[in-house]
Amino acid sequence: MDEAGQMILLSALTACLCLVGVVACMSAVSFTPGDETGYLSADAVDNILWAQDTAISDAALHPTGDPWDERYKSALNFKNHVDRYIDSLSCCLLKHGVAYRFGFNDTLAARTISLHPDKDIENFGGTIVECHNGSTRIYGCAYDVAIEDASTDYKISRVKTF
Amino acid sequence: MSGPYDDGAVHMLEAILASVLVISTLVMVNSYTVRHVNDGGNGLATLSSDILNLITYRDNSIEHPGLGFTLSSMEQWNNSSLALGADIEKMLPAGVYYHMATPYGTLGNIPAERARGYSRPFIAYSGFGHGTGEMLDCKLVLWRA
Repeated sequence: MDEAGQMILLSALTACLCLVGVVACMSAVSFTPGDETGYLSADAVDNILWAQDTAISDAALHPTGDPWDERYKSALNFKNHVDRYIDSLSCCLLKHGVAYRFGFNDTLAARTISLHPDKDIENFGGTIVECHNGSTRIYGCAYDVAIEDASTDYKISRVKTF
Repeated sequence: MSGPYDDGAVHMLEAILASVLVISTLVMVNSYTVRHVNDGGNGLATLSSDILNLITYRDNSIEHPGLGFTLSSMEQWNNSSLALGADIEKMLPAGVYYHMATPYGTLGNIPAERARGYSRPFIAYSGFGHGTGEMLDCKLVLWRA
């Protein structure tokens, strides 16, 4: 092996040592900005859905006692309550840099109804109402939720029954 | 058997050896997992997650109230927060303290200056059954003295 060859090997060794040094520095600085600032961990998403579903269940608990002929009133009343709670939730999350969008899913609700032909239920734009002894009861709702922060994006569509 | 061609072949061999050396170092560096240091490596993030899940989803009773029930109204907070706080304290290992901040009030000890800790924000629905629903922005802080 002549001098030129030894120089090449020496340069390669130096390059390797430099690379190892750079990596050692980077891992020592714990360079993980996403973990430090991101709100949306799996636990946070779980918590948001828990708060949201509690609010939706609460909205379904406000009985208006509407007769079955005026069932649209019950559905409207339910939606108004849900809208108010969802506004409160999205304001809360916005303070943490999280965008939260909620929308009723008409198609999913219609599909749910078709799966239960034995029940006296009807879909009003995502809200499912049930005829209960001549009066109207909120049976459930179908919704889409999108939750996003700078690094994570979470989407879900589901049916919640009460 | 020495000439300009043989010298070239030796150089080629050396260059190949050198590039193998560099590539193997790169592979080694690439295989290192990145060290995630989001709670100082002291397990407080996991502990706070466990505590929050437990008090959120457990059965609700007067002696052991759930998180949603305790935060359902100001009156309920006054009645149940101490029992909830006592339960959280029982879940903490020695030397770890907690602080829960809610719009209704706080529980536990405020973190000492320069204490190492982990803060977990969470949201709770208040007003269940009262028709006054709103979301509460709260946080649970675990810290070591």
